[in-house]
Amino acid sequence: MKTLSRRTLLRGAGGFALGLPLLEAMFDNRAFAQAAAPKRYLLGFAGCSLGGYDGNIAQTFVPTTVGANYDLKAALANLAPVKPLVSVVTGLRIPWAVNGVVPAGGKAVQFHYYQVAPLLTGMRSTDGDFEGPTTEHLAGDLLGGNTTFRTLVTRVQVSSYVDAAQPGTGQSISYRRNGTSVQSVPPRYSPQQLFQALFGNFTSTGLTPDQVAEQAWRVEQRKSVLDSVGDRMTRLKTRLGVADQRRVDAHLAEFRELEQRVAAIPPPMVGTCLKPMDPGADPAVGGNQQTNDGNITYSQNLGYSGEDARARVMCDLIHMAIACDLTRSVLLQFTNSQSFLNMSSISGQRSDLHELSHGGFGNLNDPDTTQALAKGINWHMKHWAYLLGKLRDTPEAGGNVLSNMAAVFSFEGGHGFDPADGRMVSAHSTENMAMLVAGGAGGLRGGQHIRAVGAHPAQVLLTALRAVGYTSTSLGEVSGEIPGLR
Amino acid sequence: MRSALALALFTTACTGEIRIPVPGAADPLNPVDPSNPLDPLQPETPALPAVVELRRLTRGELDLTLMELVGDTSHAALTLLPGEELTPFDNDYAKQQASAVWVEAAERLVEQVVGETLASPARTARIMPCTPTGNDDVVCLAQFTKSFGRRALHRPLSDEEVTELTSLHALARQRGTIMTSVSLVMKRLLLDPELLFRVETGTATADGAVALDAYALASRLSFFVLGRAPDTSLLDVAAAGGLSTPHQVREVARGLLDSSEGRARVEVFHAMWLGYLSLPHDAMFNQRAATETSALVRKVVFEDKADYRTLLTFSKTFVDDTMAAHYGLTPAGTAGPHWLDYGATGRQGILSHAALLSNGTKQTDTSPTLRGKWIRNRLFCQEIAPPPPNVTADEPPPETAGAVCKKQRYAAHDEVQSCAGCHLQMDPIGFGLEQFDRTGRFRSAEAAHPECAITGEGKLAGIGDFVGPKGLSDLMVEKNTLDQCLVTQVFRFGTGRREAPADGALLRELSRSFAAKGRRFDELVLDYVSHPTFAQKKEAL
Repeated sequence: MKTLSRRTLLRGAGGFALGLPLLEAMFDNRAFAQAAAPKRYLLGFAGCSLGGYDGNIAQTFVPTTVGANYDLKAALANLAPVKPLVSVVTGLRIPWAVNGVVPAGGKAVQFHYYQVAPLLTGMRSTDGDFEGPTTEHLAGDLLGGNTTFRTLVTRVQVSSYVDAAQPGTGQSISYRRNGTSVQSVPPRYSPQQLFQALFGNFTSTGLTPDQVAEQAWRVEQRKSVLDSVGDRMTRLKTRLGVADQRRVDAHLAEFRELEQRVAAIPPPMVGTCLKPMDPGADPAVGGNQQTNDGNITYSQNLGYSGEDARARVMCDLIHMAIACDLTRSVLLQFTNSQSFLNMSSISGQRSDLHELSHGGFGNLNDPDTTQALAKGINWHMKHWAYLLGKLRDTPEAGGNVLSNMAAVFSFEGGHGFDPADGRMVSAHSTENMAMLVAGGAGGLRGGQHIRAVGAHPAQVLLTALRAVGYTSTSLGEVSGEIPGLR
Repeated sequence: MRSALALALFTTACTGEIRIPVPGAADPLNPVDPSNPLDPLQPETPALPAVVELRRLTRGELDLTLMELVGDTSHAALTLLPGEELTPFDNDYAKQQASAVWVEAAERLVEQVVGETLASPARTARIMPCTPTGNDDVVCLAQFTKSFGRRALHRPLSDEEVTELTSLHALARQRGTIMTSVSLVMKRLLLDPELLFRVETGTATADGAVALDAYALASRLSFFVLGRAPDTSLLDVAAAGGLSTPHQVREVARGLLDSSEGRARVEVFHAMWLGYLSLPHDAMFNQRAATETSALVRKVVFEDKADYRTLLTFSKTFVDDTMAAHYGLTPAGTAGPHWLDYGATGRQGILSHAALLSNGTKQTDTSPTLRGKWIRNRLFCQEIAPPPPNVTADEPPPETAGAVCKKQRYAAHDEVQSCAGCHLQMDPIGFGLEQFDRTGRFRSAEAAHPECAITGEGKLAGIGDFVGPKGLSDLMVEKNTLDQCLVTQVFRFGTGRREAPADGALLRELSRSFAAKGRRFDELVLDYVSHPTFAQKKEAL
């Protein structure tokens, strides 16, 4: 009779078997990691621009002071507790198509959907499609080592909330290399699923030996079932045509990787690594945006699935995933590009994030439209500051976790000229874009406002990547670091 | 993974007149397009078995399958699994991507559903063919594995498979009971690739196709007509040779289609195709609108078994007093929805329904461009090329000193030759529906500009002029433009992909028989599933 469970064996995605010695080697690596902390990369993303049609980002976003001791405007006010750690880079610009020709690192004339690819890859895109890998995968491949999650891709906003949108769908902003092209990596968007994925095989503290054995027993069962499923898929393949084999192979690889993650021996919960509290069931998923007689309806459960609570949980989980060295590269996308997240439960504004950047349309109880989008941005900053603070407050070799990291926050758009309609002051602009950089890896310097007028935002990403050990001098078609950032 | 078939999709480049698939004399100025499988002037060739690739079950299919298989009514699949992008159907396999998030969700789903099933004595009793006499009753375990395995994988399991599955008992007994063994076998079967994917097996034919075996045919039939894996009774029919001839398949399908599940499936098809699965208005309004359109679909397809064109021509609609007032009809004055006559409101059939008129809007008003595109796309099965990268389609054409009214504003599209090619295929259709706002309410002037009258004069390029939804419907009926696109949409729903040139002969054959048999939707479904090619497939390369 075939033995389905192989307690002493891990199976690689390629089907090769790994014996015990390598497991022990992994353990050794981790022990070593405690001595000389690894570098990590963290990318945050907000699906909004910096200011609205009638806004003035000099008043709401961009610090007046250049250099150290910069001032925080309303959009970044929540950064106050971590301001000495965060550098603000402003004046960035993605070039756009002129006479139908998209320049290197550039975008088409249109806005939404078209600029995120060059923003995050440094590669030009004529149609919004991603032509190169995104930086969290470059960093994950560089830094991942034997960690369980080479790159962790997460998103807070559950759905795009328009038309017939379904949970988990929406423009992907994460692409990894796949042969000669790139392939999107859908995000984990359920906090409960993220918790189970990261910590499902951790032993809780304070359990009786019996309870510990019971938990190990559950892991053993999951491993055996997944192992058997993988074997079945491998055998099924031989009966299929080549196209079907490719589909099975892609899923088989994901099943094998899941099996490996379930089978991975959790790091010892010593020092700062602790199993977080189970966040419990996810907040209910809200419906898609509705309109009533031409007005968009912003009731509490439309376009909102408790993203404020979800963001908090995800920050807690990501912090601990990094502290436990489960992953060294993370994408945390707070909001979808062109985000229709309903802001009424978040900032008390009867509008969605996207409309806040269009002069406060639908913004029924906020007469100060110049500040409207700032409140939306500042919600992102609340969670970003919380996560950076937790990473800073986690000691490890070399200081703290944040001091060994590069953490970049990126916005979908800037504020300025819109080549699509000729407006000089528009949210649909890739002029005057900004990024926030924190962390002390590779000599990164926090606490400054750097004016990098005309620089490409991908240069900020490149600087951060190089700070954690990336050796290439270019990202996509963009090269050169941002002077003064490290 | 991008399918080669998706790349072969027929997309019009808007360089000339779009050929409307109306049979007629050959037009030397408009030659046959061999890449367009819908072109009615293509030379006739025998229908070929369709290429079918391995498909993952959609969330909806997995939900219905688990309900049938283990009595899961919690809709755990809909809660835990990521959703699909509707294109407009949810089963487009070119969009299905292997991902950590999907695989993890699938495992969580199975853990949860098995736990809940075995925690319920009643649900457990329904799946256990025997009562274990003790923790080592491997005979009962094997009986369970055999019976549940047949239902889960929709085919009998070989003895070797049963032995392999029950070998999980050895692990289970390290700490568990016989029910631990049952749970492991269940989890393993619910994660089996033959359950999570549509694996269609058969034997190679002389001409390079694959003839599906009886179970695979039962499965294909069940997924298409019911939206889920086959149940025991259908597997028994397959096992007894009851799906051996096209006639048998047709008669079995007739029963399935007329069941409550079959009727629900027909409604889902229409809701996805015609864009009212998720409407953008307030919940009460959405409910009224969906009820109205579902009622007409049900009436035409199942109650009256009428000519399908009745959807376009019916003179009454199923509305309550609120909706009647919204439409400008005389309310019946009693509670609940009724069939009310449209009267002389210029309304007729399904194109006057709020559910359909909700499609193709820009911000909070109708977009003649997007409505025209939607009609071309959904009702004529034509793709319009996206705007070139050097223009913005984000905002409607702006108001200028010389262009205040919507019609004048949109005329900007036609002033530039490179824009006009495509926009003349779309905008005039939308303007023909402009008298009805995005909620289906009548208007004769623009709200913001009362001086701008809305005439509702429209044009289907290459076909003719019309006024309003009634005029468009009459034109579509007169020229019989719906047949081929309906058949094509049914085919897309059935195969999970767009049609390729090789599918053209089948589509044209089905269109002809649809027209010849009184254009009954149920007969179209039955013609499709009893077509000899439905019992075959071609492997994708």
